[in-house]
Amino acid sequence: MKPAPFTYARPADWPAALALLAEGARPVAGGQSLGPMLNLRLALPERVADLRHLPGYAGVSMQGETVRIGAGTTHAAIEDGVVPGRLGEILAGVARRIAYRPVRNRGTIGGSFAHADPAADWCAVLPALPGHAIALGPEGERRIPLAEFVLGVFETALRGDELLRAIELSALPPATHFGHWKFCRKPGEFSKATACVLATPGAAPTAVLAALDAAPLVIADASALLADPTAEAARLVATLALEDPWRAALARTALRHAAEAAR
Amino acid sequence: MTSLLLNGAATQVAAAPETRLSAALRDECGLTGTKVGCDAGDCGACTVLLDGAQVCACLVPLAQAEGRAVTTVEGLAATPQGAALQAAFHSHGAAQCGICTPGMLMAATELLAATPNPDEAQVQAALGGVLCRCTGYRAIIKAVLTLSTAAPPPPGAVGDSIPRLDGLPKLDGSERFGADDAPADALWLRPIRSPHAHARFSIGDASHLPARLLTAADIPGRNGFGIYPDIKDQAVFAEGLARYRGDCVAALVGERAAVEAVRWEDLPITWQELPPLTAATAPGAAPLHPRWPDNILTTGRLRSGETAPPAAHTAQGQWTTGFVEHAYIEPEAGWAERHGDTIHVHGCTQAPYMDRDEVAAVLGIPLDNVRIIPSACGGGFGGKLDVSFQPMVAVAAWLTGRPVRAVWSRGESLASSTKRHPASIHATAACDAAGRLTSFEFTADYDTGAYASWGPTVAGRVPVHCMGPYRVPYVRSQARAVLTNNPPSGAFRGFGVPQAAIAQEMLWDQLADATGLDRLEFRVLNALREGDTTNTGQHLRHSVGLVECLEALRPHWHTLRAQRRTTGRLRGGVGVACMWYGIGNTGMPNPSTMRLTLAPDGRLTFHNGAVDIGQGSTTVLAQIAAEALGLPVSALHMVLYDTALTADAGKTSASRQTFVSGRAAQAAGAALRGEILRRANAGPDARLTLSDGTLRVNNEPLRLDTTLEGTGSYDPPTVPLDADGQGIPYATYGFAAQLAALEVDLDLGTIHLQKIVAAHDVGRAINPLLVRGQVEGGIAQGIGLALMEEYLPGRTENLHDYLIPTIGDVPDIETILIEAREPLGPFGAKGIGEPALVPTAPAILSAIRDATGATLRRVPALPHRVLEAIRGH
Ligand SMILES: Cc1cc2nc3c(=O)[nH]c(=O)nc-3n(C[C@H](O)[C@H](O)[C@H](O)COP(=O)(O)OP(=O)(O)OC[C@H]3O[C@@H](n4cnc5c(N)ncnc54)[C@H](O)[C@@H]3O)c2cc1C
Ligand code: FES
Ligand code: FES
Repeated sequence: MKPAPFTYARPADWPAALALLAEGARPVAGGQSLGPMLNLRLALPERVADLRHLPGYAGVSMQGETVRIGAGTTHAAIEDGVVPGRLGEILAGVARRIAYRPVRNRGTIGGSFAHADPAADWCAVLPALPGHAIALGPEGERRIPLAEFVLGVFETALRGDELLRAIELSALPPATHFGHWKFCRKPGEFSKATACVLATPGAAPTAVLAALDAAPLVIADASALLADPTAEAARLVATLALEDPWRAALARTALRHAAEAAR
Repeated sequence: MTSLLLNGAATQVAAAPETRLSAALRDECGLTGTKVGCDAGDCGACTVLLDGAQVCACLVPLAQAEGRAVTTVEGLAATPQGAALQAAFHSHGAAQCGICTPGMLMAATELLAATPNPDEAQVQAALGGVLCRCTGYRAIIKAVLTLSTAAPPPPGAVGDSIPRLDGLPKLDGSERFGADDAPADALWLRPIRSPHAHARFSIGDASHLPARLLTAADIPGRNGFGIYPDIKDQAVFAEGLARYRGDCVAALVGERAAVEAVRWEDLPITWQELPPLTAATAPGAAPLHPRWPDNILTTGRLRSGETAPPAAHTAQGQWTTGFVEHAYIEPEAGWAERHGDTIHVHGCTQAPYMDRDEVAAVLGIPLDNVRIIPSACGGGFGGKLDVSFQPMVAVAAWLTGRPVRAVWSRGESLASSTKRHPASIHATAACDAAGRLTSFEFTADYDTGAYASWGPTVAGRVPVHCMGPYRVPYVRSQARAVLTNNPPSGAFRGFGVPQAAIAQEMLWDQLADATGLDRLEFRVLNALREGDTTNTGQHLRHSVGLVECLEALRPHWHTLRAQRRTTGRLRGGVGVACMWYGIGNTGMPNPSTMRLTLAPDGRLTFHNGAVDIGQGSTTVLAQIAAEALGLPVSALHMVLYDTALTADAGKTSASRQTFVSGRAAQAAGAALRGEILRRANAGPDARLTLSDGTLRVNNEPLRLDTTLEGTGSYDPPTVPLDADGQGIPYATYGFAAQLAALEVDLDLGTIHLQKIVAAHDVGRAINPLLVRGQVEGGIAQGIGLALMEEYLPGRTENLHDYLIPTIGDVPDIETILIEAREPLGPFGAKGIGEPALVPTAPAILSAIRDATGATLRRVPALPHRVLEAIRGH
């Protein structure tokens, strides 16, 4: 089927993009989530605003210890190492396991985060990292802590008149430990359970459990999980009261493996 | 206007900026090498390079390609690396039907540009987004890994592994599949399908629509089709009652843009939902069709042996399987055009002669006024035996006088096409203290869905095959095809036998354990051998290679079993299973005719009506015909399947083309040779050569004044089955045994396949390269049946919820070919298309049991089911 007819706009700068947004246009970045929805007529926007050409939309810049990743940076660029240092290694490892290379060549970190699919990989990892999502609205930029960005299934803290502009992260010391585990029934499939644990020297460890058909569970202090992965994973998953015993087993396994890998 | 650097040339494309790049390439630029299998990023058939990076062209709006370099399969041959990749795919048999090949080639091109010497894991990662349903991926991996070592092919005698003769167009994008070709002025047809499993509907005034709405009232002839001459129960457009989700009730026909713009809410159709019939055999259940008051379409039975010998051990169990989708990467597509009082129908099909009969009846015109011209077929596996678009586009073209085309979307293909029958099986088996089988009892209900399709064939084949290729003195078997409001179940590689083989082989494992016999030796002990009589009373004089298959597996069995991990979270297991498969129709005629001509100008032509759906019959039949004639394959010109140009070679199903059409090709070759030798007055051993238009017999030129012809026909000798299933259902059988080695994650219930070893008795491998390709492809489908595939109407109507094996799911496969010659077959050959799939699922389940002790009762063995089985054990 062809998508229902819509008009395509390519704003030249951010104000133009925000103006289009205000008129009801749907932003598109990599199109790897929106594209299938348009093709199958699950989304029927009248107008689409292509963000890819906006100045500074893709790419990485450093300001002191802060790494700013343009929302339009592709999964593939991150996989190939555009982000420097230990943080870059960690992000590359996550990016490499998103879908397949053709999807990674187009799909963007910002599009993925803004889309907030509960099974998406960035939604399962970014909330564990120290940093902010940078939203751009009519009044300028607003900083949303990463752990507070995803609010629910396909629901974020972005307001209707805002675009996700960038992700700002703190650089990580080389000794940072990171454990990441996800379960897919076949290579490249959306995850059925993802967990990650970040242990930075001198800071409380953090963890995320995601792909639960709900907003990710963010654990601001995961010390107990690191100390006893099996028992604490069981306790945490029990609090979620998941109906499907198999999904619960997966969630426990995900947390346990991620914690063991981060020790 | 969008400007692209398209395959190196600056190109302006006029399409709207939001047009998908795949559509722009195909519809605006005429580059149909880029395929469309889903429009959702799931299949990778549309993979192209954008500035050298592989992307799904269906997910890139044209505007995003502005000013960028776009490389498609058509541009590949221009680079040395691209040409080398194409050559490697050709020589390794990495393209079967060829519909996935452009995507595979493009993904591999990106990989090789960055990593000229990749390892296997890198190839799997880079090609992971492209699905293939034919090859099982192993040949594709090999082709990418061994680019440079393509050896020159052998000449093409019987037994030579030559690359497929019709292979090159599959590699450069020039092959035309059902959606690749249609007159520019063709109207567009869009079927309207029931969103409900069971509903009454009425269609009101459609005059407000910008396109014509065709309904049952518009059918000029018979509004019904079906596989059997006396069962035409499926309407082209249903009349007031929709019997499954996907049932076609009408079709919009008009200019493409107008047809596509019609919204569902605009259609003047009112629906009254009815409760779908699920427990169809319950007493008092309403009949789906008045003709079958108890909803039982057919019952197949077999009774053999009067009393069972005394038994020492018995085993019994119940198994259920789900709907399985063919998931050919090419959705149904084609077009029709009226020429005076004749209709031409083009498109993908496995059965052009059956299509001709259906179209003629639906239009109410004589057979001779219908011509079916098959396009290349992007996978079939049984699912393109039934008509789909053919009668609809034919009716539309007939009525409008304009060419009319149709292309099913993936969701529509999934919802409307036939499926593998879900089976619910109960079976009991027994053996004596020494492990010799004494009895086998089997009853099964096969959910045949809303229409008959191939249900009777399945119900007929299963009782004959369900005890497997073993000596069993006492057998009682019964299979019923039951009508429900589910999608019609039809023909799918194996016609019900793969489901039955699961029960049979799982019981053997239990009996082997009970007697203390090794599971493989238990099968050797009970295997059919030459000289045995089957449970249908058929004496097997020749070509029973099962024991050789098992013996060939024995060393692998011991090695793999010795290597498996028996402690820890990951538990190793090795399984074994056997199968037999009757080649051709069950106790029914299924003739084929082949023709060779030699014109006075020396042009030698092979007229071959057997549709090659990727399995390789075009190549194999040419090898047979050439060998029988005594000239090389390269001397043949081909006229391929077209009901106006070739004789009836039956349908491409039941693994029959090599055996049945092959025998006809052999006879045609021999007939033409006889004609030549008679004219030359030469003896039977004379040597023929053909060069520069001159035929020489023992080096003497033979001048011809007329065209010589050799025609051969073959219909395998069978005897119809009686009420107890006694008779000679098939002239010959393929035999096989497979091993599966895997690990089960005891925490998660996931299965990691490590290796499959497959030993197949094919009689004679006319072309071992192509036979191996069939085995590997069949095994991949068997893996899907065993571990992941389960179609749920309304819930898995796309290729991310309906999972088929990817390049990362198929382990190393070792194929061992056993050649127990079949005297009836061409040069001793039998068939391989379906047999390859049958033993895989039971071998995998046997390995899971070996690893965990748990018997899976329900396939696919999804992780949660495996865990439940382990916990319940
Ligand atoms: C076959 C397939 C498999 C996939 N598998 C995975 C997987 O395993 N894991 C995974 O994480 N993802 C997966 N994806 C999704 C992929 O990662 C997408 O790229 C990603 O989720 C969306 O990014 P995008 O740039 O393509 O966004 P788009 O599709 O362009 O947009 C997605 C949504 O976000 C909105 N949006 C985009 N950018 C912005 C912005 N800057 N500000 C505000 N709103 C914005 C859009 O309006 C739209 O609603 C898969 C996709 C496909 C096609
Ligand atoms: S058609 Fe683009 S991925 Fe299937
Ligand atoms: S050859 Fe890959 S789908 Fe047919």
